[in-house]
Amino acid sequence: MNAAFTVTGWLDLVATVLLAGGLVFAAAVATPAEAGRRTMRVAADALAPVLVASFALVGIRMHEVAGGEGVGFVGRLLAMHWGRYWIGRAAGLVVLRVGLAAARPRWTLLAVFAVPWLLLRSSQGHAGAHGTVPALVDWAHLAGAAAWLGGLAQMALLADDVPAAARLRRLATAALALVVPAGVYAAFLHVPSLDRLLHTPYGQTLLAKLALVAVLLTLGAANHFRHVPALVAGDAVAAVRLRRTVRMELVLAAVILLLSALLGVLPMPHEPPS
Amino acid sequence: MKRGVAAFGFLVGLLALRPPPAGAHAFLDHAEPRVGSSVAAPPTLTLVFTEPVEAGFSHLALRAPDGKPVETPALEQPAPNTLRVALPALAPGEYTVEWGVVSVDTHPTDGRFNFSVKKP
Repeated sequence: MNAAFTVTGWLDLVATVLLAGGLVFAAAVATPAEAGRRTMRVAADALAPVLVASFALVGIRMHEVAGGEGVGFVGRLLAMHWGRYWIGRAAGLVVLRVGLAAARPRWTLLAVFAVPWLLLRSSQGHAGAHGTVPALVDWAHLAGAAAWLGGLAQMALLADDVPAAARLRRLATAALALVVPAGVYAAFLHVPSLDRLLHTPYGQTLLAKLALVAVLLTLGAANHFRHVPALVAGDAVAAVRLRRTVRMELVLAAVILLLSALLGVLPMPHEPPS
Repeated sequence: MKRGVAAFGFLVGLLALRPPPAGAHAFLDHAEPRVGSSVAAPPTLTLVFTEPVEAGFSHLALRAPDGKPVETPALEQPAPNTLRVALPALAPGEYTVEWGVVSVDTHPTDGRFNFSVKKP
């Protein structure tokens, strides 16, 4: 059951990041390539069955806990906190998919819609259960990660576009200013002590994620300080290096998102109050 | 340099907002009657959890000293993290409360505890 929740959560994160991040890229960096547009449409199309699967999994879990079946049971699922946000996410996805289907999508409008739409996901999970501030911080973390990683995916699909690379460099820096402090906040929120960080599955998964994030940041720094400035200066080899680094970052990001999904399933490293 | 100072200040400010560690699973924070207590027959049983719970997918069951379930009316939720049930007149003896709840992010937890009703 936990494996199913983890895989579903991972697919959810990947699709959400590709969709929302791609729209931010389109609004703030450059018009996406046709392959980039297709990626966003595929992400939206993939997210629909993923949302249905997550609803089914939560339904199975609730049935195991409290019983119930039929239309009334589905109504109870939709009426709960998680279910209400699920409806909001699904409705928002329909709006985004319709917007993406247009011959000339209105990128800014879609991005302005997609960023607050991410708040529904943050409110639905662990962070939302803890209150408004944790949900808002989780939203900042997710929005920053989406802008950064979704932007990288779009950049990988764009032919060597020097102005776009320079603008993405600035967008990635702004995104990191959200991702890092929000991630630190979440770590302090969920892990109460060094002992719990080192000796619980949650803490160890978080450490593995942080190690991979450190590698990702190093690759990002190579882009920021070396490859993009060299590309802007007209160094043809820099374009090859940038493409290679971006591909490595995307593979790494997929693993980091898998660990993030696992963190959403693992028990928090706390003892129940005595 | 200024950006670094600003980022550090932002981080410190954010950490100052840090709430106490939270569990994402709803654990029993306290109950009335208290866990393990010995009390006069209580009119209600109230359980307060560490975070909001879904009453529609939660349950409380009370077992009499002989192990048989005590009939109670429907569960009430006076606050997002609180479940309450009215109790019939309880005879003296040790009772067992069995609870199972679902936090608002759908994680189930359960547990049990005892309390005693004193002779009048």
